[in-house]
Amino acid sequence: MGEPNGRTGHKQVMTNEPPADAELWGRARNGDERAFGELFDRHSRTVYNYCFRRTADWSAAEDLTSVVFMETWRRRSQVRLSADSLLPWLYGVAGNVLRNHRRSLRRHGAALERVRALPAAVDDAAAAAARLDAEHEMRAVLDSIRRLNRKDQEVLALCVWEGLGYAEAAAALGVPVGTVRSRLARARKRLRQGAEPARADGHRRGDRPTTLYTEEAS
Amino acid sequence: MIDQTPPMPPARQDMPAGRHAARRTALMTEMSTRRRAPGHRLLFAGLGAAALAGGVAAALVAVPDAAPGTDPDGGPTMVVPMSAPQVLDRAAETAAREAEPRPGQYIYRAAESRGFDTPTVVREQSWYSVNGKGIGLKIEGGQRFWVCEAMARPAPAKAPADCGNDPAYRRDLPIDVKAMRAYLYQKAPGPMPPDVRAYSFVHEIVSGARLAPAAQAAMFKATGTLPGVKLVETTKKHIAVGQTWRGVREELLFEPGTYRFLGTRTVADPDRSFQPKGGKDVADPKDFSDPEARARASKEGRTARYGADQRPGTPLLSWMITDQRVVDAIPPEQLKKP
Repeated sequence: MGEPNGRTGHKQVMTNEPPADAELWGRARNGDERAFGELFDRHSRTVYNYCFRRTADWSAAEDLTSVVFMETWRRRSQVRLSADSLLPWLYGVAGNVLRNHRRSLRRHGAALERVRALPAAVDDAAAAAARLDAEHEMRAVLDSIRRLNRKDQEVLALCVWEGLGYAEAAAALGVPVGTVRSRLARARKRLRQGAEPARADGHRRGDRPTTLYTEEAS
Repeated sequence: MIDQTPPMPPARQDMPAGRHAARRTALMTEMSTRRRAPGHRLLFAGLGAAALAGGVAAALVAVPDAAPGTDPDGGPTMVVPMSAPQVLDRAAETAAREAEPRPGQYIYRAAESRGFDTPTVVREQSWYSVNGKGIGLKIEGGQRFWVCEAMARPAPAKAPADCGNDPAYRRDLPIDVKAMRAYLYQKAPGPMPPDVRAYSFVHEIVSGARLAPAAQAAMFKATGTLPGVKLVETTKKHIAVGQTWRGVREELLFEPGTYRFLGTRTVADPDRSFQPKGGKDVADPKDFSDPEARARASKEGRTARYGADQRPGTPLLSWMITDQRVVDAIPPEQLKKP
């Protein structure tokens, strides 16, 4: 009991700052679905776009976004906030999910089937065209960084595309800050070198067309 | 082509119209209905037989005779008329007798989850450090998770001296029955009536968390005082205590004779005799900030809980402990795996 009714709840929203991630997460972790819904509203667009930027595929990004939040909920006892924000954690989960793409989709297959079964909205032709254009553009961008290994791609995506600080990226990746810094430096250097045609530098890992979809042996 | 700046992605976009709402709704559904990992329809034995047993003991609630399968082992044994509080008191005594492990040890647990709408049994094994300093390991559905909160993605080879994990046993719970009862009513989340919320909270906590013996004892004893909690059935395999609301019964299962806690289950059950006061429907349309989701929830008239439309007696979800003990360490062969 003691919960605010709709009216006072509304008033709170009007007069107070929106609750911090930490507060919402605290409530969500204890089973408050609305609090988790609010976190979804707050961060799903970022996660969705990050997944898109790593896959160049909007519909895959949509599924992956669902999986990131379901995984975060499923493993809620292990979630750690970083600088009061859930976002670095979400980026970290997204990284894992992207690496284990097929396995993640399989694990949450039933749930994803249920979402797909929900009625689809009327397709807006202009929006659909914009999505298609972005996919082409993104594919070209991914092609151009393919010479980087997966870890360097990830750091580049987080620090340069997503604008995360070194510390946030380190929290997301679970590596020391120095590692982020050196990977990013290496990535930039390789991209500069990459302007030259030579490619046989021993880093063949990045040459695979499906770098992001490698499944880790378990 | 590439100068000093790395290639940049195109501008961010929103999800296509309506998809954000759909994804959000789906996530909420997952949270509220599938707090446990998925599993598959299990032909639980003994429900039909338990209905007969219901005639023997006044305290037993007759279970609709709709068990999809009947196991010859599942029949009732010596049915001793008991009430839910009596069963829960015995369970509390059993829980309280459990020895406290030493700080450096591990709690090992193996469990199985099943759900009626998914085709697999999900097996989990976990080793949690008693004081939280050691690295933990959880293997769930074949996937391995190292638990070491001091590092976001730890590798066992690099496990630091103190993993910063929470202790294996939850220490935040009261160990006094009255305090536990108050805790359940105060802390239980959700819009349901308080009595349902409190019991559901018990169900949620014991389905997965490791409770210190005293806290588990207090929790079972407090559960016996909650309205609507009844003895459901007694079979050779388990004694089930549950509370039914909106078409779904959430059960706690105990081992006959020893009253050891075995796991939890939810079962479709149309019994409407328990009519708690207060609270709201599980999915109040007002809970949806998105108009589309609100319209959909309202159209569907979500007053029943997930799975309530299944045949009475259908087990919807179950989480059963298959093994639990105190061990000194994570077995070395588990540490070596990639």
